[in-house]
Amino acid sequence: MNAALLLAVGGLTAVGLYLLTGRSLSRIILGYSLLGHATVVALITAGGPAGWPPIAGQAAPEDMSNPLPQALTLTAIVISFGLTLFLLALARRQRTLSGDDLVEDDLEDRRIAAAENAPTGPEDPVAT
Amino acid sequence: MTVLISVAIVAPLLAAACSLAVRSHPPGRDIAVLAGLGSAALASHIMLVTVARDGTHTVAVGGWAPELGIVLVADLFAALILPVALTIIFVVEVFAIGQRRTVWAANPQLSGPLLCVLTSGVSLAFLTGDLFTLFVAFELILVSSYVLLTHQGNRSQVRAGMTYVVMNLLASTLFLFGVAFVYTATGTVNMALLAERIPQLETGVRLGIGAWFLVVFGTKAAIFPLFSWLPDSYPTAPTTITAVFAGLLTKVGIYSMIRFHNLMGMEDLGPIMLLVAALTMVLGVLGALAQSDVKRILSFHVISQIGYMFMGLSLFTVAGTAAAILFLIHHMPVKAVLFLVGGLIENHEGSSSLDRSGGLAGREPLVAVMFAIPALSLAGIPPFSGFVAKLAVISAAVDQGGTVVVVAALLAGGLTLLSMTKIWNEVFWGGRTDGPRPRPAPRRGRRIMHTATALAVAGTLMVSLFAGTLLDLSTEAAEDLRRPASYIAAVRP
Amino acid sequence: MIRLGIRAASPFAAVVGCYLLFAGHNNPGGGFAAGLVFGAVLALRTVAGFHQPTYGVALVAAGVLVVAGVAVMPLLWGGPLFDQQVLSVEAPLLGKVKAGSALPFDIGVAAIVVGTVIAALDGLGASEFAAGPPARSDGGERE
Repeated sequence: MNAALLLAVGGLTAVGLYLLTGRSLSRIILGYSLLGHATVVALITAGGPAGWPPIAGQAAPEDMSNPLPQALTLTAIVISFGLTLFLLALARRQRTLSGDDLVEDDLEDRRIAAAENAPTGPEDPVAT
Repeated sequence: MTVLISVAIVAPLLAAACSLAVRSHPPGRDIAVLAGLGSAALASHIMLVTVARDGTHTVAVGGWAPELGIVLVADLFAALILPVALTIIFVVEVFAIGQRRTVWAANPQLSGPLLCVLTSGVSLAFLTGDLFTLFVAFELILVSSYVLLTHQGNRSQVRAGMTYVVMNLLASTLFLFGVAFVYTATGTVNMALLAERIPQLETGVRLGIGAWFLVVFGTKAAIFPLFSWLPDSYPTAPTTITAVFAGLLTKVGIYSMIRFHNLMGMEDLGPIMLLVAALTMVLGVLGALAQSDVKRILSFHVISQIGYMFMGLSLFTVAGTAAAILFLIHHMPVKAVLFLVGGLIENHEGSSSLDRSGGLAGREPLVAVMFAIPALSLAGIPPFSGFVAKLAVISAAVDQGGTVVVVAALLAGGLTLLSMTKIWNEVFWGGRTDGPRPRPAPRRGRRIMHTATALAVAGTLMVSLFAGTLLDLSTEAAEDLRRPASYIAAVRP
Repeated sequence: MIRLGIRAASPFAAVVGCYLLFAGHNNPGGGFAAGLVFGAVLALRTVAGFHQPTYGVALVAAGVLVVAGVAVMPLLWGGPLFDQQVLSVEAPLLGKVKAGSALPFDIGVAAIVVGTVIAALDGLGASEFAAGPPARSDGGERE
């Protein structure tokens, strides 16, 4: 386990989670990207000690680093790439619709919570 | 058998590509989507018969060993749930074809292909034998569901979609962290190998992994206290999409929990999970009582019903797990049908709000019947499948002496009936309300929608009819899950 | 100036993309990396207002068809899902040329990635760039 890598995971996660709790979607996107990086570093750390690149014919197999987490990492990167693209498109759609990119409250929930004598449901689903 | 498993996963993907290629040609598009979904559903039914007769079958993708490659495992549990899920998607797509001829439809160019991608993800999630492929399947499902939820781009959908997307993205990230933890602790992500290695870990590490994945899968399954995203986002989507979401997506989370926590021997988490199950059941149904829109009421019931399945799982006994599996089989079609009927109400009344509708039973008796059957089943009234499933869950809990959770389950059952009565009174009885009404949708395509819903209702009745057989099969599947040795032996011969 | 840079760089970047695509079998590279390079080229050209690609969805469809086709092909002769066949030919000048069934798979992946990028650009409002003044100032470039 490499302490620097672990610190990097912790730092990225902390900043990412902080950004994710914001209301502005552009911050959420940044937060998600940072969290994505944190998971990538975490997966790489899970692979054990660093070694030569695991490419056939470039080093002896016992000197290579563990290839499986790297394969998982690649897949994770691909997925977070696609999701970031989608989030960006969503943020833009929100901006054209409402002029800002804030996550809004659920109007129906507000209405029911405001109604008298109604048992309140679970608390308002605000942005996580 | 290899062919069947491949068809269930790849055929919908191929259909998605074909229908995208001919997307400007409606009949071709619909035929491609239906062919893909239909062949996958057919393959899954044959798979069930084969697995019930011959036992678990595995496919090593690319011929790699389980330590290195991806293994697909068709055990009885997967083979039982998969046909139900794929058949629902197929029927909903038929409904959607009818709905497209009315004004309430989703954008057909995208929704068909995306539904296919979602189907492929669902098949993969049910059949996969390793944790990381499960993550990929979740992402496949979620990416297509994000787009399905927001692709029409009106304001409430984008707003609701955002909550859904952010919440689920967080859960996915946690999933990935969980994979990293598991790999660090055990050096594998294959579930059969994990089932060997996780029980040997220190108690703290083992339970930490169990609790972590409880949060991950629990967010997808919308258990207490992680359900806030669900009632917010589901009702805004077009009916067909909500029907698929409500019928399947949360169930994929429950399915993963039943598989993971049973195979990994997480019995120590049982008491906490039972408490969570009780809270999920009661709070979900209380939330439903506060609502005044058919789709929102039904969305809260999804949460409440998830509690029952979670309760069966939390008992960690063969009877409890079997009951959870049977409840899953009962719940998926019933919930999807109820949302389809919600769509019919919207179609007939111009809105799914309780205040704006009334007297539908007199004008459309067929719709009233098609609502009544699944609604009674959901509430657990005797001749229907809901009764058998609830009885199984509750009697499994009584065997374990869980008084509190049994009381919670009975209370939630009573309140469910109350809430279904509320819909019935407001929508099907009573007079039409005055005041401005939105113009109801045109009649075209309604026959297809009615036929699809009727077929689905017939499907739920079939579940009631064969409840005994299904319970036997569920028990067999549960026995396999509670004895991981058989699963391990199937994956590594 | 930037537009000139983009214009000058895009053929080179395309060559790099091709290299990554074909090197991906036994060396770093592969369909996803190549697709990203191609996608970046297209994105830059779109932002600069050279052209406005609209074939994203079709590319994704074609890519998925190829990938899924390669995945299930081995089933026809009873091999496992995603089995790989390697064809090796002695070609004049080039020496030994190897092409596995991973190559069409990589091409399919690259097509999906490029298609996704294009579709996303569309969703992000690529039309605004093309309609903006810079694109109009030199008209003859749009393809």
